Amino acid sequence: MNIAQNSFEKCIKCTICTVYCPVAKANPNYPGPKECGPDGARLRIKSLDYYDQALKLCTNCKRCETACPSNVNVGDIIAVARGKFEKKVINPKLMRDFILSQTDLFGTLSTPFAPIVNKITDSQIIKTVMHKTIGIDKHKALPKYSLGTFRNWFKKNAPDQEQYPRQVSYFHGCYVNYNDPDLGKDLLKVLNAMNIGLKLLNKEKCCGVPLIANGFHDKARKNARFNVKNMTEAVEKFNTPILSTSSTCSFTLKQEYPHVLDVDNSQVVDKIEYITSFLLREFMNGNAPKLKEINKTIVYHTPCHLERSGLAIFTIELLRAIPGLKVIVLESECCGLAGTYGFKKENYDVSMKIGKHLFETIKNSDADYAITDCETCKWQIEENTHLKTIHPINLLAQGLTV
Amino acid sequence: MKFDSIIIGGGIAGYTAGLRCLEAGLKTAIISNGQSALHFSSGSIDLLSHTPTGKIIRNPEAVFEKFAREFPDHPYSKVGKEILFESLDWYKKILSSAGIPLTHQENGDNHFRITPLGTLKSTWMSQPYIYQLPVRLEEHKVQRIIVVQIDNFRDFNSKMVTDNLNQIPEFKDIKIKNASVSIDGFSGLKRNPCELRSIDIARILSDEHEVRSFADKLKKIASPDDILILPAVTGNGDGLAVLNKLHELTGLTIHEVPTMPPSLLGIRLEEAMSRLFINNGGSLLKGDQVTKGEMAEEGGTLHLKSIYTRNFKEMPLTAANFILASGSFFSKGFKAHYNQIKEPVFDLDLSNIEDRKSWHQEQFFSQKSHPFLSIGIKTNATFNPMHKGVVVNNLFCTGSSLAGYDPIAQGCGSGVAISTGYYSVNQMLNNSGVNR
Repeated sequence: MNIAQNSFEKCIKCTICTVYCPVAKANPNYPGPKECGPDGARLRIKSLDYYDQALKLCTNCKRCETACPSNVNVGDIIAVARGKFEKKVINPKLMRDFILSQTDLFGTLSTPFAPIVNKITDSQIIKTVMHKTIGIDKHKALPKYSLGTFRNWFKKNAPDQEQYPRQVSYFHGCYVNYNDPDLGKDLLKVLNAMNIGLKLLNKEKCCGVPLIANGFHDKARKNARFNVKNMTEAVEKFNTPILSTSSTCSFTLKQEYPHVLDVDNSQVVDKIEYITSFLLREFMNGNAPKLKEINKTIVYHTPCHLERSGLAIFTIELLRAIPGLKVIVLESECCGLAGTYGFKKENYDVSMKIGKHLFETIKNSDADYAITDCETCKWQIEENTHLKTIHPINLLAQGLTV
Repeated sequence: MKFDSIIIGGGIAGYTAGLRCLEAGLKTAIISNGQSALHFSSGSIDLLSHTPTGKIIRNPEAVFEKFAREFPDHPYSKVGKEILFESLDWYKKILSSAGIPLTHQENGDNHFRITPLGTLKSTWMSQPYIYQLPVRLEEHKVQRIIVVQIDNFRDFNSKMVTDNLNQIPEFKDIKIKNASVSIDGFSGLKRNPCELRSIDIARILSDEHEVRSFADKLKKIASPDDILILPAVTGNGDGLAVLNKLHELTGLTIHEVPTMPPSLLGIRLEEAMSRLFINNGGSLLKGDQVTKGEMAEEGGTLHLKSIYTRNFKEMPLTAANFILASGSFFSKGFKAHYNQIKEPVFDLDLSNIEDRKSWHQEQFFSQKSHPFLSIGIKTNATFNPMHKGVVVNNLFCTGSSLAGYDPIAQGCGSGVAISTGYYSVNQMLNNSGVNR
């Protein structure tokens, strides 16, 4: 069922969504989720001439949906409209959008030469050139690639993992595979300490979220079908849960597939789980790893998609279960990067304005780390506050006694 | 997942209960399905403006005993005078600590505030930029009223406000006029400024230069002896900062009036309470909805063991005590079916009115109460509800989920929300039958 097709009928025009829209907050020229979503949907049925290019300014953060008292899927309505009606104009920005959203392609190409690629993308000259030609903002550092993928590293460890009495499947996503295999390795340590082994899906592709955000819905749909097929195989063969360490990947696999891409995931949806929700349940059932005290102060930032999934509470409770750790929960607000959004020259200022309050709070916090579940929030916070920002799993791995 | 107390609903009643639970050292969660009806509210705290029979009340405290005797089913009569005023004092203190000072008349009288239609409404406690008119209106000291029209802003009509104020007999000797003011930031916009809502203007006015320029324009149309009626278009996450600045720059007596939704006056209250709740260690489950509960029989009563939500489909949320603060129809606390009204989560017993035709008055703007507004959950003396006649011993109902009062006709919505939220936590702490 495609909820977005008719949920605008439930909108009572109260404008509460616009109050909580980070883009509307920072950019007075964005008409806000109510006008772009439910209002626009009604008009677009009449004529496509009503399609407004301003929909491009939506970051797909879904805070409008969390705020809506009438359960309207405001963000989905906007995303679906963009997928259907956005016209692709052949220009350098289209190339940039392609580069930013083809995470698998560029990850595969870059990881074997990571040190060189990282040096090149980090050079001031290249940054200026990219700014002027394709419109990747010169203030941004492109994500660093790792030398070698997580999948490759895992191959050597796969036989060991099968020795554990219980197994889980892991959807590692592009970030762990190409940028930060250490997060995957940390997950493996944590699970092993709980006597659980890790399995990968036979194959996986990018969950599709950058493709959705950049209007490449057909490609995203192909990835979605591919991933659902592979997840179904894993569930049928091993009946394992499918875990993700990315709050956005898990949100996309579970919710964006049916709501935005119209891809049926019903046979696996209840098996897909964001990692902290799985872990906290294990902890509560008595299967917590032995943890030493971590006498540190952390500030916790709630990513938008975790907020929309309603799962932030699991991460917060998990952090509170770490002995010695002082947990400060920050006001939940968007960091401004929103995946690929903040990398774009035309969005950079808005992106920084959205994140300003968060950056200032973190800078004034005296914390040892910022913790967040989302890789792109991590980049944004580190770039703008200089506080080391890590995933809850990284911190748990630090606390393991073995 | 286990808590000491779980509150269903994140409006004024829910946050009152939540903040009180945290004060008592309880591990507390609030589950809220979208932002609350405070986004449509005046941001003032109504205590009691009329009796259920329609008599005007000047001083709620003075008539309390008589009121409680006459209307024993009203939630106030169960809460009692002492707890009612204790709770309001507490609320005032809490909100002030969060940067929203609230004040009331020293003698405990109600006061009038000016509504977006230019009528007067009786309330009890207000934010700093509400000019408190005396309920004995003939005693007012107003010399001149200037009603501000922001150019191109459609959600506040100063002409209508002026015309209606001019019809009030006690105002016949004072000058009331409207004046329009432009906002600089509108000119650089790519959008038509008519599309802007109050919140959009608040964002433009969060800029220092805009505030200064706006202040200069206000100074030209009013003088310090006037009451300047300003639509509520400031405060986007910064509470009263912009209004304080405007006041400081102009020296004018500003009277803020809510606009068409969203109402920044109400948003300010919700933001302050929500921030405090998180800072004090509460768990806020935003954008989630309770779908069902599991109850067990316990010595002739029922005990709510756990609840499930849209996001917690498999894993139950358990607590020693639960508070229902799910509001009325708008907040989905009630669902109206063709011939009856139902409470959708636990199917609690309601004070339904049998005859469908007598749910409402013929006229929408009737002076008399619409009976459906008094339909709500039947509760015992400690606000425990019943399911098929059996009391649920660890669930407490608060605010507009309760039967026996009409928040609109009796002008008592926020007072009932605060006092019943506060009282329910007291009951919960006394609830010796339940282990904590």
